[in-house]
Amino acid sequence: MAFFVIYIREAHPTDEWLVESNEYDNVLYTQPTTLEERTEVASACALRLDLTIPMLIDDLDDSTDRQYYALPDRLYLVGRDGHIVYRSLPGPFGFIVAELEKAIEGYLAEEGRVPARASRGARYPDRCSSGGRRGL
Amino acid sequence: MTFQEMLQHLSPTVKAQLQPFLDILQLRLSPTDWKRMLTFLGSLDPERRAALIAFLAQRETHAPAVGTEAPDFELLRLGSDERVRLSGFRHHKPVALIFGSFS
Repeated sequence: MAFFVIYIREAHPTDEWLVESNEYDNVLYTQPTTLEERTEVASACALRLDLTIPMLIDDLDDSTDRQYYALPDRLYLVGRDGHIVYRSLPGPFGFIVAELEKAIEGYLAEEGRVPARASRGARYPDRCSSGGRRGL
Repeated sequence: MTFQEMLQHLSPTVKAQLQPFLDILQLRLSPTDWKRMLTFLGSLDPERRAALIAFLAQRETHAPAVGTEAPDFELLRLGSDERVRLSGFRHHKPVALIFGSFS
């Protein structure tokens, strides 16, 4: 299994639609206007949430976000054949990590593979910030 | 501009697609967050507001569906000069994609 966080445009920056939970958590950033700025916020996110999953940075045209209709957050599983196996409902309310985990286990079981301990123990972001207490 | 005024130009189909999302937001958002959302939408120029509303309305019908080919991408990996291409995993590994941002 490979896991990637795809870091897309800020859902609730201070200069757009700031939400109360981000004030509470002190996650206060303006919408990045350069790739460098987006990368800086992504680094802060990875550091503060102690993320161990590799992070890929979407470009400033939001190309990948647009392709996947991901904003504010969303989960996908892509099979070995390059086809979509699982797509969550849009976040924050549809961002349910347990559902992704179930989809992975189901997919691997169907292939006749058992989920490796390493992937079971991987650190998932447990909630997205726009509906919860923690970022991403 | 009221919320109803923002939505009035939408076709009945788009309004119907948007409704479940609006219902959830109204149910789950705090009054402050709901008010701020309206202020934010009201502050956008009409073209950008229309694009955002269309994105939200169409996302469940337009997002890549289960069973279809995942759109390919090549993105910079944080903390390195490496670029990662989704199609590079084809025939090798399944890939979990976790889209999100800090805020």
